[in-house]
Amino acid sequence: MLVNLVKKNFYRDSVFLMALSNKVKSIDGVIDSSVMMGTDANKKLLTETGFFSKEGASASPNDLLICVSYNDKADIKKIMAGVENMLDVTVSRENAGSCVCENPKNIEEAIELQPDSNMAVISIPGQYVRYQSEKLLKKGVNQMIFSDNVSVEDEIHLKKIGVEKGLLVLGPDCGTAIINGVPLGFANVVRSGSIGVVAASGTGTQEVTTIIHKNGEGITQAIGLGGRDLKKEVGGLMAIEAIKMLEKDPDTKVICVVSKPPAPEVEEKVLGVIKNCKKPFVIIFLGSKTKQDDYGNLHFAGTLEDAALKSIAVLKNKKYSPKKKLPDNLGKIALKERKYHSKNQKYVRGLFSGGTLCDEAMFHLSESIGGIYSNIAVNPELKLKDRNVSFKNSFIDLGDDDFTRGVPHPMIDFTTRNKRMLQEAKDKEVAVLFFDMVLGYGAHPDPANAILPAITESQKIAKKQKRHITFITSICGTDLDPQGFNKQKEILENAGVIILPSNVTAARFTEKLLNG
Amino acid sequence: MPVFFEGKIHSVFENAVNINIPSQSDRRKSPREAFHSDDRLISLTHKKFFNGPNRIVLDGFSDLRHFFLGSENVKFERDKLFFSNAVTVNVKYSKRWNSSVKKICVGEIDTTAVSYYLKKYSFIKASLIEKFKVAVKLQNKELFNYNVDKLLGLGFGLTPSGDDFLAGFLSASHFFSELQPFDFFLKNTEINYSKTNFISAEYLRYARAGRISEVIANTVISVSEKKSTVEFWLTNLVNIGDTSGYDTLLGILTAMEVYNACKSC
Repeated sequence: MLVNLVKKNFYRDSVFLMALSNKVKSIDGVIDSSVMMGTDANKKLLTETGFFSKEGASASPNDLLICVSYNDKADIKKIMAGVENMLDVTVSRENAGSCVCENPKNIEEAIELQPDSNMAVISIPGQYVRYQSEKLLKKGVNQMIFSDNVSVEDEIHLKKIGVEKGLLVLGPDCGTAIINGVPLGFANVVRSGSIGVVAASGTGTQEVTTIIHKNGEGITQAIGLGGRDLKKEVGGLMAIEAIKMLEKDPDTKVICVVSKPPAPEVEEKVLGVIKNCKKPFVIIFLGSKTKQDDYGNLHFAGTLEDAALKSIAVLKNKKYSPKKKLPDNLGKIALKERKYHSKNQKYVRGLFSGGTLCDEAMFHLSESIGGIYSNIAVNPELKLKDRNVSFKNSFIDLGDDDFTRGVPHPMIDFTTRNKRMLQEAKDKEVAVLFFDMVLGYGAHPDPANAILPAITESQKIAKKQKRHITFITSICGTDLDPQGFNKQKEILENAGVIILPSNVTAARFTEKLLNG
Repeated sequence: MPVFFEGKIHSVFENAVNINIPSQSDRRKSPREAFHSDDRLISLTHKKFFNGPNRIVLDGFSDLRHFFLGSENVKFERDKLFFSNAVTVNVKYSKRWNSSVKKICVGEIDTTAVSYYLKKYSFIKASLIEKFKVAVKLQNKELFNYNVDKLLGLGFGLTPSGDDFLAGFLSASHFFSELQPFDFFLKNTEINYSKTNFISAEYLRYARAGRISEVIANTVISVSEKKSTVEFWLTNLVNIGDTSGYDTLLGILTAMEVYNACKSC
């Protein structure tokens, strides 16, 4: 008896094919076998040797032709099942410790392994995001796209599918989200609560959620959107979808929206959607110069700290007066610190790993100390000519693409920031070194100890020149973060760093210190 | 190599990944073009296979099947190969290898070593090889093309034995093309590539075009010129695939025998 099995476009190396031929012979009932590519020459050869049957006729040169002769008492189904089994034996997965580690190699395998998962994080080269994201959307999986370099056309396309299917497409370039209590990307461990956050800003989300936590409340979800969602081209597609989702979520009582000022038409559209919601919203368009008064269910905030505290106040149905001044006790410390500086020490240098934190501090300080030079300045006149050289008051976003090309993000690796800190410390006109310290998942496991050598060395440089530099920071983190908030705080305090409760308070402290 | 192309993974083996570039693929060429514009196959291979046409040789991996799957999309731009599963291969700092064909001009080639390596191997019928040799030597176009056609796609393995034999013969012919029969053979041989599978067909195209892999080139040269490295290259050649290396060597030996026969006339 003879049977031919054709495997279409099936490629295995010669060693596999020869081994397969021998293995097939070991199946019960098999007399002989031949495994060849289905070329005309081979078909002819197999015909001559009595291996070829009509099933083999469909084989092309790119197909594998498995010819089996077997005795008439053998079960052909079992034989074919045995052959199929042998063909499917591909990669032996590595053992991890004592358990077998099942590493999915594609989306289909991942979904097969975890059929109940409904959220995926995509972190692959931007060019391929659309391909993988579409597959996930077809399977009904929400997603956070961590990748950057995704075209705006792809973003719009994917978000439209997401809206159509009622699925979240967070990003591209979405670095922070907390979904059902699970931190994704750079995110902090915060308590569960009743405040939902929708944010087009990574460190903005971190600052708001950690302040909410520090003040005794918690969040339901923190939905990151990616920096382009509220721009004209994308039109707030996912912001609106996220708002609608949180509006429907019974656990969410207050919704906090965090973004840089959107495109005017997008702002109008988003606010229009919000006005039709029943839940109260706290909105911060960071850097917006137009002050908006609260009305209806809309409550506006000017700083990230205010957004967090106002969300809590609205939740508790309490009145909230925005913090506008530095508390007196902190003001006194600032003035005392000011006395240590010489007349020549006039400037602050900000070294940030979080873009939004850098923005917020700059925005606040530029009103009181004048123009601040930066690598991310919107005003071309204030754009640093060389991002590696500071000028007067300068704030550097070290997480900007120009600094992170080919090197890890400054939240993970302190090399660039430490080096820059020493460079700034050598400048005799520098009075304040202002930096952010971000904790949480994704960030450095021990950031205080990572920056400590640069602080110590900078102090030595200053001391040698009979100067004093003030180090100012705020810790964006919680007591639940893996790095340990108090431990980090203690290390920095012992090193002489002044730690303020929020980024904006740190900016106000700097303002007081410089202006008196 | 700032050439741009898009393709798909065709096949994945333990030590090699083949990428198929559809012929309509968008290719923006640069002055320093790395790949021929009509190439359809690019391979990533382990360094133990040495350099070869359209081959990106990688080091430091254990099994490529852990990293790649068939049908994944591949893009090559800005010196990087981007795979849709997120693997990126940066070739910016890789060294470029060019296949070079050195014209062999010796009295008679000592084929003892080659014969020794092939002593137990004879898939392709001796009579077929003899007919082929005669046809090439006599520059009988119809006859050698008839035999080429019979050999195409014949035999075991991903690259069937007949194809490997032809690849070996074609490759060696470029080294011996100072002799008229080889030059005539190279100019007049007709290969119906559709008679074999994609990968094998591409290898035959390379061999025909004189784009010879490092291991084949060094085997031909070291045997012909009695170099001390002969064993090294022979061993490496016969270790390719299950029988592919042997089949290729048989093709090389056949070419050498034609060379010797021509020289003795």
